[in-house]
Amino acid sequence: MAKAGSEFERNVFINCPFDPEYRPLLRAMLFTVIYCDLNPRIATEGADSGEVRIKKIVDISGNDIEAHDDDPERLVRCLSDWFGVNINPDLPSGTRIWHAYNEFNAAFEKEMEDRGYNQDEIDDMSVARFMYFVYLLYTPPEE
Amino acid sequence: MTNTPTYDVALSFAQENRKIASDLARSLKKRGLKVFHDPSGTENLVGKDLHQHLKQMYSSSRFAIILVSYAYLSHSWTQFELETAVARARETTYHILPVRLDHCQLPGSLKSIAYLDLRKSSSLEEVADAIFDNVSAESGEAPSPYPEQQRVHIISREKAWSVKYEGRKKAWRVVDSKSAALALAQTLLLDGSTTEVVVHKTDGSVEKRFGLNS
Repeated sequence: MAKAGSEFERNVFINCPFDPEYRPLLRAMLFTVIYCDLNPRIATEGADSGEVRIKKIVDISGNDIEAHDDDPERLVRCLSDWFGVNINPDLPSGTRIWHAYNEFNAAFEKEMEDRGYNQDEIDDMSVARFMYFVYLLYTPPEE
Repeated sequence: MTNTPTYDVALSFAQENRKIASDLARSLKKRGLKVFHDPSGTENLVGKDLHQHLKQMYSSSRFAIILVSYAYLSHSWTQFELETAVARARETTYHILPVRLDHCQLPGSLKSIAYLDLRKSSSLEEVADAIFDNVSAESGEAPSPYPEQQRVHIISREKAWSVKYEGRKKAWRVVDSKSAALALAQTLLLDGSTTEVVVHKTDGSVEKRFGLNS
């Protein structure tokens, strides 16, 4: 998988509601961005929250992504296609990312169990902490 | 946090060696090791507490895998990362395992420590094998090799269901219905091709897990 470019060019701004009903979409989106070797940037990203948006060059606010019907799998495929056109054509396919996301969820669930998280804590987990666990547990794609 | 390290190894590397670090992390995970690997590396921690980051990185692991290169030694932050690991190794039972990536001179603090040499290895997989052996020898028990490749996932796809071995690139079978996928997974359990089946919901999360006796 060829790199998308400089660190600057790899930043992806995610503008997605943080309501519980959007959580499956947001988490699938975060995973997809990370799996594609891009840097997710969101408004509530902990220490980075004060970062000026002008530095975030790619905006996947929803206007640019085709309809996904609130379906995480379809969203992953849409993102894969959109990144392929707009950032780097040499990225994993939507199917591969979706499989990897499912496998990550199995590892994530086990990790939460080992660490003693209850379901409310998992559901209400901050985006920053969720991203921490994605980086920790996901297996990068083979090139 | 308990005193037992959560991770077998933590990877320390320069941004320039990010690709090698990701590949090595993947190879080690395939061998069943738990890997602390932050792909963004230390250099992206501008404005964050580096001490806190390193404390977490090293206190939660048993081995520091230091990917030593010209780039690694040229950055003050990665040098600080190395010094922190060396200090921890001197004071505790923490282990350091350097992996030399290029012809750089090993720093004094690493000269008395046996290291792996990527230049003399036929592949990164060989380096991963050597790390696996070191970690297994230290712990006295080998992690199950490739455990995740025995696990099977049933994954929802548009108008279909995948039956897929974890870590493999492609699905083993794609069938029309969830019940057909479950039936196939049962056969894999019965013939010993897998030890655990993980069934996923349509949002990707886990619905249930089961094995031969559960």
